[in-house]
Amino acid sequence: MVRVVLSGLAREFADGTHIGPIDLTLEDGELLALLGPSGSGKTTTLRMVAGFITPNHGTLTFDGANILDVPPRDRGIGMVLQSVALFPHMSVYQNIAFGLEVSGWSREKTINRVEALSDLLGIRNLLFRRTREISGGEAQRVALARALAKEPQLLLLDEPLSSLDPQLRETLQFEIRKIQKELGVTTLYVTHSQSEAFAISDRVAVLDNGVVSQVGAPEELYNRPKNEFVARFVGGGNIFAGEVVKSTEGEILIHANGWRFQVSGTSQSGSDVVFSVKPEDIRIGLGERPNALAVEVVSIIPLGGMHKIILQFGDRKVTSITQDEDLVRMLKENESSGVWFTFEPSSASLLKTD
Amino acid sequence: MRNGSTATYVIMALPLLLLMGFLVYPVLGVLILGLVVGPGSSFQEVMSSQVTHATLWFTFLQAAASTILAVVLGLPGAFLLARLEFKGKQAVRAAVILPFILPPIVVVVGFLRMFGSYGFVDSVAMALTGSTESVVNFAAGVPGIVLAHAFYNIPLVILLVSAALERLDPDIEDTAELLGASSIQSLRRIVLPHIMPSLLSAAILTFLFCFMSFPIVLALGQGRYMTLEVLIYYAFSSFDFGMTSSIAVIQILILMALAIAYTAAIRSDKRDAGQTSFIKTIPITELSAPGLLTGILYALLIGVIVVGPMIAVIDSAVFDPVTGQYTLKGFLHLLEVEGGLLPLTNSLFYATLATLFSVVMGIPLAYSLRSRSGLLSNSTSVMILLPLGVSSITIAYGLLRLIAVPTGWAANPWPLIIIAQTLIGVPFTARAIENSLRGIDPSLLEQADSLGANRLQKLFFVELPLLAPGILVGAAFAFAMAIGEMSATLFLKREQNVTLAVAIYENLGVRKFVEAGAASLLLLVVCFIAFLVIQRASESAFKGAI
Repeated sequence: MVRVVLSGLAREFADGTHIGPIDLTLEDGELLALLGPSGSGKTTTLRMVAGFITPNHGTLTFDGANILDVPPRDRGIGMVLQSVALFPHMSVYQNIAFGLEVSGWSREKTINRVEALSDLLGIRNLLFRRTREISGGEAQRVALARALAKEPQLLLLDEPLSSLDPQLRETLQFEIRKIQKELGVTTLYVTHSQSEAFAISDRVAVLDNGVVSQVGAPEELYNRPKNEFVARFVGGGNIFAGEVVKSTEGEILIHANGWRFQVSGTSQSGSDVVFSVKPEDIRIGLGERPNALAVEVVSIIPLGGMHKIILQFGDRKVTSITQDEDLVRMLKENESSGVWFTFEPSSASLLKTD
Repeated sequence: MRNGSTATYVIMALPLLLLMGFLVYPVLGVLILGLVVGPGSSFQEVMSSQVTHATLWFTFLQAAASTILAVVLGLPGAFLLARLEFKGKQAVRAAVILPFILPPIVVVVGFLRMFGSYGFVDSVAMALTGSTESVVNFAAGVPGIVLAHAFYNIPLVILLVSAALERLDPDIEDTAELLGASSIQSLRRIVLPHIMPSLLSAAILTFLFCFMSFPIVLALGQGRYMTLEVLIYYAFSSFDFGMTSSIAVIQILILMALAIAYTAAIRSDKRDAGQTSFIKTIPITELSAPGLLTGILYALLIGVIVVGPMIAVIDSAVFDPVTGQYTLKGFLHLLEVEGGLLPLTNSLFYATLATLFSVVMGIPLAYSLRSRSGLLSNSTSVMILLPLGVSSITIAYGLLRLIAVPTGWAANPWPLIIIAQTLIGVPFTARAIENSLRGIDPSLLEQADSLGANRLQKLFFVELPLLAPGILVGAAFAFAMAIGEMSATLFLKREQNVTLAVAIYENLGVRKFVEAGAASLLLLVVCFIAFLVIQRASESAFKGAI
């Protein structure tokens, strides 16, 4: 529908907080999730795109045309918020039809459009209910139908599912994704939940302290985080920092926390580096073994179908995830023999340091 | 409430019984007595009389005109107060309740000096036209009555509507805008429906207030204009008890209908209240030049109508319009035993006792309101609405004929004045105490229970200290109402019972303007102190939510 480009978009607030500069491109028809902890500037970014906050610097274009001087109502945007913000004194039908009526659609066209949308979202039976008579999940469907009524070229979703229970959230994630693909509407989806962002989006932009830390497909962020923030926030990764003591072709030896790790990559001997290893790449073993790191088991947490094992390694904790039931049983029974962990050099990601 | 529950119910029922005895019985009794026994005109004669028709018609018209004026002038203020971000906003919001507790007769004095012949506004008009004679007089007849009612009710509209506006979710406005609504469309389809219930309840309340307005119409109507309330007073003064009761019945029926409409309106307002959120605001510095100009003009207009009369009271205390000179005569008069000292003593004595009784009755009534027994809480809320729905003149009429005559108090009816003032204060104390009762965390009381406190210890060491701010707010309200009360007191008093408010009215009647002015200033100061007490106490009790 539309290609949205944010370049150098920044805004300072009276209280001294500062968002941006943000550079981000939403390709035509893609769903991009804006992921970050609270206070990272997700909602501010979304509201700058919507036009409710005017940026101090930077440009914003829709299909190459500058849109900053266009008022929100003329930007062709549909928006759904966490608070839902259904008009309380109107019925479900009146809510969905509101945008069409204020734009002067004919009665017949409006009815057809509302009926088509309510079929798409499975809320046909709710059309003549009052808004306070419907459930949270239904309210989100109504809000989505209302946002889609005028066939917006861009859909903005601000934590739309955060107030729902986990099961309903998954169902609606799936539905939003399906409808978004069907309609091909470019979508910006703000969320603080990594799993939601990964479940729903084509690409994810991770926001840290008002700037985009990394953009990419979910797998890319997970497997190849560029920096420590992304590795922690997205991968729940184990972060190690140390000094390169030996560099051979394609592989380096890193001295960290009193131990030497073999890691794929290149770096100058003597430089300080940080790298991360995903929990599922940490392999745990029992018994005597040279060239492996002896550690202590701190806790074993069942996750249903797998276990999360937390190890004490010097002054830091290392997390491992395993599906090996035998190993978990042996670890639980184990009292005497040593526990160790190891990982493949290629499973570690060297991270950028500031 | 497990042990001693009989005692608890007796305590809770006592104020209800007192209200039955001193409010329901005299009013119902006197109405029936007047209709059946008379003496005077029959109900049919009264109903077909020209005077009744004209008075009823005028009562409706002036109430409608006052309501329209208050809504038209109050709405912009509500929007400005809710939307604009400016320094001193809290102070303005707090000051809005000040007019409400000022005695009507004091407002009349302020209005005469501000808008009357040779008053502030007239002086400006005279200077502009170069005339030496009075040019305009807005403090007499219909304009005076309607303007004085606007003085009371513009703040009411501002208060109720701005509170509703502030609950408007900013997300809802954003959504409407994104869906393509222009600001006019958004105002008509989103904002107006949102504030409609509170606007409606403000309008009904204003209408109710103007409908039974007494001191303002009596003093500014100059005998030519009468509301039903004034007609009841005149009918009683001419001993036509049949007419008195007939008019009172008509008035009560209309007031009841309005009170029911009001209750329905606030119920739908509460239903749509939802969670508290704050409306989108604009800092005053970001306002456009025309917007700022409109705002300033509006503030000036409100300043003239609402602030002006209060300031004019100060001037009227030292300026004698008869001689055209500034003088301290008014204050000297206040110090004379026959002049101001007796009324002042009476006022303080009656108001203090009435306040005390209102609080003592208000505490159990507040508990009854919060009671889980639907019968108890419903009958209590009806009972404390009655003094607002039955006019003070009717209450005084009932007290005089059915309590004073049998008890022999008619020669010196001071206890009745205190009873009437108590009845007027009780709704305020009960509501204020109930408000702060609602704010008490129930787990605190459970804590006290688990620590072994008995019911009385819990009441005196835990609950009452927590209720103290609410009690103080209620007491200050009741005191301001009692000391400014003129209608019932004027009706009941004998020569030795004259209060300050009544003395002001009587002084105005004999053109002792500066004497009336000095007494008005004194009442203004007393009510202002009560206002400060209310502000302080409600800040600590419920964050200024009155």
